[in-house]
Formats: sequence, C-alpha cells, structure tokens
Amino acid sequence: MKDNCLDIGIIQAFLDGELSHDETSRVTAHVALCDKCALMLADAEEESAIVFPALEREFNTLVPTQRLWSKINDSIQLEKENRPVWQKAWAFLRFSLTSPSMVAAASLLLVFGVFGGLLLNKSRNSVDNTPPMAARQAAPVTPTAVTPASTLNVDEREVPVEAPEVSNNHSPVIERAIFRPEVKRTQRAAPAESAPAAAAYMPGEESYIKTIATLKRSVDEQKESVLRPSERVAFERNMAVVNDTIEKMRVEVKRNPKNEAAKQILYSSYQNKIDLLNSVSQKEELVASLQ
Amino acid sequence: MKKLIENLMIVGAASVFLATGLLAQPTGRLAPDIDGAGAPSPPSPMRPSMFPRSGVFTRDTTERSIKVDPAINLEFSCVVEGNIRVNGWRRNEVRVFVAGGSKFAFRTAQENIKGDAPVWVKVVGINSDRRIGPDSECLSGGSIEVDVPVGASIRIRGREISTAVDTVKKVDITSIGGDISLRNISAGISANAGRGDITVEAGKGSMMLTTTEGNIVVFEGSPSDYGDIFKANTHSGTISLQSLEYRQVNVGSISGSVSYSGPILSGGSYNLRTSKGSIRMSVPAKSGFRFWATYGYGSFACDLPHEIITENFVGPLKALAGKAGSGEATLKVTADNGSIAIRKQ
Repeated sequence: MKDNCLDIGIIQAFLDGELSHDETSRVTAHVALCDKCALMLADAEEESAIVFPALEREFNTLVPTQRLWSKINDSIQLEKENRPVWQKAWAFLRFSLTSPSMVAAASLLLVFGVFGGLLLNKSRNSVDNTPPMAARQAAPVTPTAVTPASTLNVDEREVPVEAPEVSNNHSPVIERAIFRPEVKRTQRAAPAESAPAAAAYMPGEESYIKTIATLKRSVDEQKESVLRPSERVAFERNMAVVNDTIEKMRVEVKRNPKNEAAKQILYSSYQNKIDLLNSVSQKEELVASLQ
Repeated sequence: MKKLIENLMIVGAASVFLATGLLAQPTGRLAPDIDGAGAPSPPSPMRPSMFPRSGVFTRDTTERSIKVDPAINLEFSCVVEGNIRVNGWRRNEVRVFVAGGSKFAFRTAQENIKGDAPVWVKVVGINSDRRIGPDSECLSGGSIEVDVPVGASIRIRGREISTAVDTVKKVDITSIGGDISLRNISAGISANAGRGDITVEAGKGSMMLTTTEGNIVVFEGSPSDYGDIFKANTHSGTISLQSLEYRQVNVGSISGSVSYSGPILSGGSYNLRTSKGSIRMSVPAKSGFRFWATYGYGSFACDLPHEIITENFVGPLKALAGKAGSGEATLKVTADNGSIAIRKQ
C-alpha cells in the first residue's frame, strides 16, 4: 500500500468530506496501513483545526466560491450527459425541422423507406416456403447423436429439447438435435453447513462472534457520522491489529487445540474487538446525551 | 448566447438556493462578545460540521457561589466546551466562575439530613436565546473555574473540554475530546476521555481510566480502602504507571506500549496486556511473584533471579511460566506482538 501513497489533494478532500463513499473507505483503509499518509492526514487535520475557526466568518459569507462554480458547471455538464435519448432526438428533430432542405431530405428518406419496406416484405413472402426451424428440428434424429445419460456424470448429463411435432410433406432433413445442459437442482444445505461451522467454534467463541456481528452492524452505520477522520483511521488501525491477532490465534488454536496461551489471547482479542466497537456506540450515545 | 443566458439563470438559481439554505440553517456559532468582559475563548479544535452544537450561546462572564455541605456532590451534566479547573478549598462553599461562556445557575437536587445545606448540586447552563427546540442546560465557556470543599465529589460530562481537578475527594469525568488532568484525589477516580490524555498524580482510591485515543500517565497511586483496584485501558496510546501501590492492577492497550515502574506487592494480582507494543516493568530487586508471560514476535527478558517452570514455544507464540523470589504475587504479562522486559529498579 505504501507504493501508492495519497496526495495532499485527496487527503484534503477526505477531510472536507468531498470524497464518495467508496473513495472514503479506500482512503481510510489505506491510511490505516500507511504511517506516512496517516501522518500527513494528522498534519492536514491539525492545520484545518487552526484554519477553520480563523476563517469561519469568511466561510459563512454568501459568496459563491471557485469550488461552487466548478461544482455548478460539473452538475450542468453531468445533466447534459445524462439527458435521455428521446430528449436528445427531439432536440435534434426540432433543430432539423427549422431548415427546409432538411425537411425535404427527410421526406425523401421516408418515401424510400416505405417503398423499400414494402418490397422486402413481398420478397420474403415468396421465399418463405421452406419449413420452419422447429419443423426441421422435429425430424427423425439418429440415435447415435445422443450419448446415453447413464454413462455420463450427473453434472454432465444433457437433456434433449422437446420440439413440437409439425407434419409437413417435404423430405426430412436429418440434423443433430439441440441439447442444453440440465439445470442443476442442488438444494442449499444451509443447516448441514452451519452444523460443522458451529462445531468449529471453540467453547464460548460463538457468542463472541455473534455479539461482534451485532455490534458491527450498528457501528458500520454510525462510525461515518460519529468518528472524525483521524479517529476513524485510528479505529480502523486498531481493528486491523485486533483482527490480525484473532486470525493468527485462530490458526494457532486450530493447529494445536491444547495451546491455552493462544486461546487466552484469542478470547482477549475478541473482547478487545467488542470494546472497540462499543466505544463507537458509547460515543454516539454520549454525543446524543450532550445536546 | 441563449445557452449563456440559460447557464447564467441556472447559476443564479443555484446561488439563491444556496444562500437561502445557509440563512435558514442554525449555525451554532458563538455570538460575538457583547460586553467585552469575557476573555476570548480559544479556537475550538472541533470542526464546525462534525458535531452540531446545541444552540446559540452568548459569551458572558458569570460568577456564583453557594453554601454547601462539606461532602457536596457537584455535577456538571453537560459542558459543551471550555477549560475546566476545579480546586478544593477548606470552605463549605462552592464558587463557579465562567468567563466567556453561557450564564448558569445552581440547582439543588438534595439537601443534607439537617436540611441546612445542599449535598447534591447541579450546575446548569441558561441559554434562553436558543432558537430551536427546548432551552439547553448545557454549559459553555472559555474558562470555567470551580472552587469546592475538599470533601467534594465532582461529576462532569462534556464534549470538547480540557479538565484539571485538584484536591477533591472523588472524580467522575467523561468527555468526548480533551485532556483530563487529576491531582490529589483522595477517594476514587473514574475518567473516560474519548480523545485525549489522562494524567493522574497522587491519586487514591479505585481508579478506572479509559481513553480511546490518548495516553495514560499515572504517578503515585494507592488504594484508599482495602481491595481498591486500578484499571487503565487505552485503544491507541501508551500507558505509563509509576509508583502504584495497588494489589489489583489491570492494564491494557491495543496499539501502544505499557510501562510499569513500582512495587509488586505481596498477594497482588497484576495483569498487563498489549496487542501491539512492548511491556516494560521496573520492579524492586526483592520482589517475589509468579509470572505468566506470553508474547509473539518479540523477546522476554527478566533481570531478577527467576526460574522458568514451563516453556511453550509453538508457532509464533511463546508462553512462559516462572517464579521470581518468594512468588507471593501473580503477574500476567501478554504482548501479542511485542517484547516483555522485567528490570530491576
């Protein structure tokens, strides 16, 4: 991650809340892993903390800034690009109808189009004596074309497409039948899968995981609004540390279930994770109570 | 030309829309200093958009005092911002001085048994010029100075506050941002700084110190009663403890080092833990304890004469169990990704 460090523009946009959700997540994840960028972010935030109060009055004056101008222009451009096709077509048509030469050309095109269409239709009717494709498919099929289903694996088995029987007087055209693969009808074995998963947990581990999952859901919704950028970076960094420890200890315990030290660290790490997630919820509650 | 006029119209409409929105939105900015008596408040480190402020606070300078019971419980249930200094004095009186902030009042929640002095007083802000919603009871000030009896218990809940408390009985502080500095607290501390450092000097009684993003430094701490415990936790920060005389110490950091310098008391239980960082202890040479040291990607060193009872080196994790001296205390040190060192004082 350190190869593609963030530039100061992106960091400033991140602080100003101008990045999209995905970009914000990307920056947060990067800063959590890159000390250089974390330092740069901290510096930028410190500068902002000094500059913002000093310039608060200027920020609140009602003068459209360059950024506002560019945003407005971008919006107009975007709106133009996103205009529906029929609107564009209508605009073109409206423009075209103002010129008499264009009207004449359009009329000619229309007339040619109508004649052309009529001619094509007539010629198709005369040629259309051959049997339809469905009838051709219904013709007798050589049995060798079908591989016996019993010799195939279940997944490879093919089922012939049933075609409607159409009688015609023309000589039969022998063609290989069209096959399509059978749709796999494997049922989701959710209960069967969850049973071994539950069995894979150590005693007490499942409750930790469930608690963490519940907390994580609520925290994921809150953290964007509750935590400052630098706090979010610290939070993600700590979460990465804890997750890393959990991952290592899980592997260790799986390898050696009698390793009590690894088990203890694993449980402590789960507790740390819960504490981390709880800290966000508690902060949110505190913020709400101090209104 | 037509296009230009159209663009100009859009821009004009957008400007008007924006201007209307800004005017309609409550800014939450502090009103200008009208009387000029209040000291100008320092620039808030909080960015304006992050936490919408409760309302519009005027900048006044107010001082009030009230006669109270010596064991007063003084509560600041909502302080939006400011530097709070609380000092204990030998008078049965509470004095609060707010410079460059909102007006406030004392609200008596309970009186003593004799009924002649309050034992529980709340300090509430008066913000009658709040434009939206009910009147806020939050206090705001550039500088808030409080004098209380030395036997007072202080409870503060605040947003962006820097707090210093000196010579009182008990303290319970929770803040979202800002440092907490405590000195000469005689019967217990509970401090929770969301984003800030916690410093305690010469504190007694149970201590529960928690910070999400900050360091914890404690110098001279001891129990005021049997069984008082010491607990310190930070998510991102270093914990440094010196001269603690607790028999139950529980310390943890997720990404930060832990440093302990002090005695290992007989019968004590010491649990020091960090996920990413090292643990360094400096203990008297004659200390006696049984220890369990677990560490990964680091090393273990103990200067004291000791014997290793069990060793378990499996994978990246190393676990040691041993004994130093008489072994009357238990010491559990865990550094998931770091080293452990126990040095002689």
